[in-house]
Amino acid sequence: MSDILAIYWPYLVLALVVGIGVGWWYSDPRSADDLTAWLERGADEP
Amino acid sequence: MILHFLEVWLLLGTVFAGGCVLGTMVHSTLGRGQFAAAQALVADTVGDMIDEIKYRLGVGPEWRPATRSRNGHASERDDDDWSSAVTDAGASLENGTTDEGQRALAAPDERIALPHPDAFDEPVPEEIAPAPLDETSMMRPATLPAPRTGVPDNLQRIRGIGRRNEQILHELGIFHFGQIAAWTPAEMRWVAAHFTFPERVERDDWVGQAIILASGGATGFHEATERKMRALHKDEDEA
Repeated sequence: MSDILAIYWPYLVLALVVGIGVGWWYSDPRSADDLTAWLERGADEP
Repeated sequence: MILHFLEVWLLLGTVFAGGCVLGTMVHSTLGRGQFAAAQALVADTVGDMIDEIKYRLGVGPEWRPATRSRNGHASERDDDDWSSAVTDAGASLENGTTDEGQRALAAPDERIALPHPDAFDEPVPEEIAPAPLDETSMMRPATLPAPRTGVPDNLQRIRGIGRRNEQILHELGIFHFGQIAAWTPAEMRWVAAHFTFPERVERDDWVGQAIILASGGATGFHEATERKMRALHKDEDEA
């Protein structure tokens, strides 16, 4: 385990940061209330 | 080797899941504290950046004006865009570099005669002068106790209106695209005050979308929603 941490720690940090971003965004009322408005491409679709 | 591979990915997944939980906790903690405004500002900034990128890539929505205002106020850059566009148009007209300008210069008698500026100097009687409106003035729009013919429009066809926002609009007595299309800025502010993120009413141009939808037109968002609904119904039929 320590070997993995020593080698792959940058990827683990990246996964942690991405996870925090996803969790933060998921909790935001914009995604909870208006999922369609913020996550769908909408009118800019070709 | 395979075990090592699985171990690494398992660790990455665990860390990612932990990050999601941590992000949720951070959001709820910040949202309740004194940093709520800063958090909303960050979210707005991210949204504006996404809009900016889409605008620069030329994939912005057709029905939305090229403004990415924050908190319901037009940005200075947008004002500059408008003023420069008006200035350019005026200069073109003055120099006769456009068709309209050439026609106007060629036939000056056909220009529309405007009243002399002094004609506007007479003070308007107080009894008919409207009260000055400031940016924070609000007015309740015309509402209905129930939808006409008992069937409301599907307001979720407007980008920015989800299930919860539609429910709020219904509680306020707004059921149809025509009602939204008729909002004045003061009425728009009154309605926006009932939402968690009031700036979105203007930023997503609900009125502009409602005008299109009320007149039988379609926005890209409407089409995207319809496609999604069709796919959903198709899945249900197959099941």
